Amino acid sequence: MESLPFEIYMKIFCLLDYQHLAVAQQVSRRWKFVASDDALWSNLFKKRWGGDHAAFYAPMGSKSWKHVYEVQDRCDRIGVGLKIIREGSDYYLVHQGEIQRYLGSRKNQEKVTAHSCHSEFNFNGESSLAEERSSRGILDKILFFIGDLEVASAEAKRSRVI
Amino acid sequence: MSEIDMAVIKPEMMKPYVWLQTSDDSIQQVEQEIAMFCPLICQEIIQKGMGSSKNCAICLPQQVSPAMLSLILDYCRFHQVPGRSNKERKSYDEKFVRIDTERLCELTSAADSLQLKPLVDLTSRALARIIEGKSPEEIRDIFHLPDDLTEEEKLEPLRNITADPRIRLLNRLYAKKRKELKERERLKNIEVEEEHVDERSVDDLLSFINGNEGEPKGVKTSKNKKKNRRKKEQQKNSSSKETSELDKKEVNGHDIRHQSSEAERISESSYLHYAEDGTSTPKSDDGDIYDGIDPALKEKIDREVEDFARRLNSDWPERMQELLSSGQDRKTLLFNTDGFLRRHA
Repeated sequence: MESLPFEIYMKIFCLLDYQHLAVAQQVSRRWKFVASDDALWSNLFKKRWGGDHAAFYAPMGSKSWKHVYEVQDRCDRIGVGLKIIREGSDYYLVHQGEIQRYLGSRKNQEKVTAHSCHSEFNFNGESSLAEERSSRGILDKILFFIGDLEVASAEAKRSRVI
Repeated sequence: MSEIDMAVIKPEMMKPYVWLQTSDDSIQQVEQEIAMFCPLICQEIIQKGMGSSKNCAICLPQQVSPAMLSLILDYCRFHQVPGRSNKERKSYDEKFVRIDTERLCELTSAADSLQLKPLVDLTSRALARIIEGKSPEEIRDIFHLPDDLTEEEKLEPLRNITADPRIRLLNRLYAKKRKELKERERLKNIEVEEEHVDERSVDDLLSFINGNEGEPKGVKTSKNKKKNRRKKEQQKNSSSKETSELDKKEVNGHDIRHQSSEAERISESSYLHYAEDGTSTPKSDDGDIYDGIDPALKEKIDREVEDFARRLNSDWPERMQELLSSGQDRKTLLFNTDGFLRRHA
């Protein structure tokens, strides 16, 4: 498979829809490179939202078509406002479909709280350490809850239409 | 007379052959008619006059091993016959690409080097189909690709999020149940208005296990569903999830009746309905008979679902631990799986 020329890779990837293409990016370095190709994503964009939309949202400067697609897809899913959302197990602050900030992840919850402990260790006593830990934890929980709530209501709205 | 002379003098008498050299330097003779199907070979013969003898055999690209050449020639041999129907060709193609993935890749490479576009298209499609629906790990496995990405991998914003194994298990169980019931009903020829599927949410199953409501809840809720469905037959559909729990249960029954033909949607929507149910209270309606369904079957289903729920149940303490790790003691948590809000008592 490694020995296949670039054009063949492109041919195969052209046949994939956006979700499978997104998976393909996680396979290996080469696949990530090929699957991020502008041509593929601009095709998918045009197929999904039409040529006019594509002309309007065409990426400028260093932005890639892949990024533009991702942003548009997110707007479709959750709207254009300022929101905290969850994708997979990661939480993000998004605005107009673009990720503004990474807020944390359920998976790494343990690690995150451990880190914050470390930094405070030498300066505060035990009690404030515990406080730091628990306040960090609560903050995460609040963010995560908001993210989950957002996703749930988006799902509910979508299902209602069906 | 030499071979060349013969070919030149009596072309109609002899079936022309060309000489091809494969990647292992071995040379073989192939019917010209078939070999010409490949544009590269065609080019070599016509433009450069190669291939007419062993001495000037056409040197094929290094991607073409003898095995691959043989496959490609089989393909050409089949397709160059003009009289075949499209159906025949399609069926042949489907069988043709049922080879192991490594050979498929090799074949794609070889066909591409010979510029045999139809075969390249065919094999590319087959490879795309293999890629679809697999996880990155699986893909790496199949194609023997290196796992050389770093934490970058974690950036996966476009992934569809039905990855919770619990949900998948539940959906699969529903699908299985539905199939089973369809079979039995068809065999017995009982007139049941709708499928009897156990659509209890995980909540219900759990409370069943924990004996929350005392009596075997399974019977009651199923009865209730049936009763509600019959009651609300006339109710026209509002698939709104914002109604109260009570309404939701009734609408559920109705909705499910509507969507009973679409297997996928049932599992999705029924789960959706029930996820929002929260703590469900059974309505005790004694004297409601479980008509239309064989009680033995019902018990069997209940047992299966119970087992499944128990399996799920063993997971929960672990998850609870995770979420309570920062020291919260309260048992009532709002947490979600797969984007739905659920409440646990």
